[in-house]
Amino acid sequence: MALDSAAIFDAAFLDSLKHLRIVAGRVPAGGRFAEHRSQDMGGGVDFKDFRPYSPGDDFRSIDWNIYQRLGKVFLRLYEELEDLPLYILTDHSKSLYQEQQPRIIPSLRATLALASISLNHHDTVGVFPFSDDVQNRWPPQGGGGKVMLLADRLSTLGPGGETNFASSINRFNSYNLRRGLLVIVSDFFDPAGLEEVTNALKSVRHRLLFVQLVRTSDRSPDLSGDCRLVDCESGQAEEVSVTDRLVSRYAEAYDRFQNGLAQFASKRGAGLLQLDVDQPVSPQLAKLFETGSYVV
Amino acid sequence: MSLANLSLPLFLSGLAALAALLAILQLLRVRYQRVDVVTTMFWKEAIEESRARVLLKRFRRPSAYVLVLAIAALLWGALAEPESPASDQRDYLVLLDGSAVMQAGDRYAIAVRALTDQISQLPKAQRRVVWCGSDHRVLLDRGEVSLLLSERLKERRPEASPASVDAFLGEHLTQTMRETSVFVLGDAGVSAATLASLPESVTVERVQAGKASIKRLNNAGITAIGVGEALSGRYDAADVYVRVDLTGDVTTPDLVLEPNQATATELNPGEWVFRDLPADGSTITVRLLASDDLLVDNEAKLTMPNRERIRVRVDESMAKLLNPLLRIDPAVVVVDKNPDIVFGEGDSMKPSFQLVAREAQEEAFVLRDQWPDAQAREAVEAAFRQLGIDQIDATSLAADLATSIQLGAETGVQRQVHVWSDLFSADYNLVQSSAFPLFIAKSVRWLVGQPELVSYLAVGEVSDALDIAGVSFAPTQLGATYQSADGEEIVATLGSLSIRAELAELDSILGMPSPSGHRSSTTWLILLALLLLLLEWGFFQKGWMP
Repeated sequence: MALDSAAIFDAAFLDSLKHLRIVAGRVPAGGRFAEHRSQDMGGGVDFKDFRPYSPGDDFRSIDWNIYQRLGKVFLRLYEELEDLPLYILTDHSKSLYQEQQPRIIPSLRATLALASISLNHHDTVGVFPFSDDVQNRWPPQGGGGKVMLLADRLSTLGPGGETNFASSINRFNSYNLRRGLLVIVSDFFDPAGLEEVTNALKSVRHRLLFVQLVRTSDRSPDLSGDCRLVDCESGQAEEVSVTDRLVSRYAEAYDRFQNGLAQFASKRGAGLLQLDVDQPVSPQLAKLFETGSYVV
Repeated sequence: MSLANLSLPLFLSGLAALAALLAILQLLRVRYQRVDVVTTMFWKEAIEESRARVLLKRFRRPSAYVLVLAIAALLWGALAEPESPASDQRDYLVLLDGSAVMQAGDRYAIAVRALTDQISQLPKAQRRVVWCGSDHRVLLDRGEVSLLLSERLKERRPEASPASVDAFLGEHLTQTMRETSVFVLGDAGVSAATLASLPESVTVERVQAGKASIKRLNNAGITAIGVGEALSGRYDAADVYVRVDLTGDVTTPDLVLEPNQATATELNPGEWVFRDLPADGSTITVRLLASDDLLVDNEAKLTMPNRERIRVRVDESMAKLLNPLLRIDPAVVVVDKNPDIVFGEGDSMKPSFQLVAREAQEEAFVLRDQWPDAQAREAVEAAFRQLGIDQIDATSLAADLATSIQLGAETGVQRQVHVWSDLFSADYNLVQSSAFPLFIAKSVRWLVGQPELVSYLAVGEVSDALDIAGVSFAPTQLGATYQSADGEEIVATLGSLSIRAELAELDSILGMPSPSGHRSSTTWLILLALLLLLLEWGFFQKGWMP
């Protein structure tokens, strides 16, 4: 079922995008890396140098590995940075439409927010909703005036099937798109397990940024007594007797998952941004651009 | 402490079965709350080590099981009705008067109510309740629950019989060695003699059940009924005598007879007779047309004797002499065929009166019969008296015959009278004597074996030792039955009022006591079980119980 577009992209959110664009646009267009432009104008996207991140810098260039090691945000400088397309894989599996405050809304908002920044910079943006497969909902294209068009396109998105990273990534890879930055907006809850997710992502040749949709109850579920837990995507049920001990084991399992995802991101040189779905999206993204900080 | 309702093995078995059943129910009592989650990934990992309860795993909350088991055990214990025995070891005997007088007014209902209300005060193992009506029946035996008493009393009503409490005490308690408290419910009297014969360990008290609506009976009742020979002389009829006694403020009622609708004649105050009622074996009912406090004695039934005329065949040799006598006998009909008795040479299958030659027998008069081995002489003498032989002038006869007149007896299948044929000739004055017709008439009756009509029943004189003219008499629940010599049963019913004896004044108590030490724990067990149930409900509401 498609959500009400007014609910997804309300006036307040759209207004916040302007602020985000301004924040992200403090760096002069075309001059972000002018001082580091290489004289060797080779083809492709070749790494040149690092420089510290400044508010307004293109987040696509953030080197997450350095942040991991040094705790500071640096940009990777490329020769053809302005040609680095942005691809966004937006999770729209069934699970994102569950819960009283569905995660699909912050997911779509985060997608639009990131896309709008790049579009505002006249960069190429492609948006590919995925669940058990990938949709070519917004083929890579540029143009700042296309934000509302993209918003309109995203608001018609309905629930997909079960989350299947493996098939979705395989499909995406088959598009053979020009190397860019691949942002995956998802909760990363693949029934096949984290290993399947990371195995699939290993085959991606783009730079990666994970925007993980999280909420407090993911780690600390509010359950008690004897419950029949039904997976909203697969329909499989698990009958549990919730005790303190069981909840503790659950938290341990969740922590293992989180650690595993973070370790993969680190190894892969990918960024991991945890987006609290119960908080407004734009301020969290603005914080990334303004302070260069993020939560892993 | 003992269990009134269940044996100990049964109680323990039941408790074990309850424990097992509740355990299974507890194990299966898992109610799942459905929760839709975004993923079960992490739960799967977590629950691998702690699966949901399955049948054979241990309880999740043993305390819940213990609580439910405690509730079930308390209820099971209440069912067993444990009670601690009285500190004394007395027997408690309750006698419920079911005699005719209890029918008056509401005294029986009052007595029964008091009994059912108070019986629980007596310890089950030591109490008994006995019905004292026309017979003695145990209504509640030791160890039986009081509910059985109510069931057994449902069909019970006071009977048309004398009070039998006195008889019960005399039969069952005079020899007892046990300490016994006897409680009498009702108006039955106890004679001073009986009370004096009871051992000191036995106490008899009357329970004041309540105020009966009738304190003094105003009563008219039939107290005797009997059958006698018809004054008119008719052999096939009988006169029925009735005695009526009055108590209190009643007027002499009218009597009616059914089915004959004959009219009674009052011979003396309270003594009546119905004349010439057919002696045909039918049952008559005499009824008082009275509205009094006790109706049970307003009716008496009697089965009339069955008296058919005796068929007699007379041989020609004796016809001229005997026919005139026989024809005027109302009990006799002279016939040619199918006689009951024969005068003359008869076949051996019929009783007969025969004339024999003097040479054929030594005695002038010989009677043949199946004499009893014991007391045969008395029987023979009685038979001769019955024939009226003693009325015959034997001296004169002997003089005439120039020989002594002797009487003899022989054993035979059928009754026979053998007389010297000489005595029947006109030469001797036997035939001329006034005793001769009586002798012939008595002989006819003796030969056919008809009993005399001397039967009667009277209040207070009912006894199984009663013997009237060889007829046995036995009291029954309804009154009495006659059993004639040939086994025919004749039923007579009569209500009665009281024993004829000097009655003792019994100590009176307001209610049956509750012996010290006697305690029933049933109520407390049930209350405790209810309390725990409330607790369990509260725990369940708070989610502390599974």
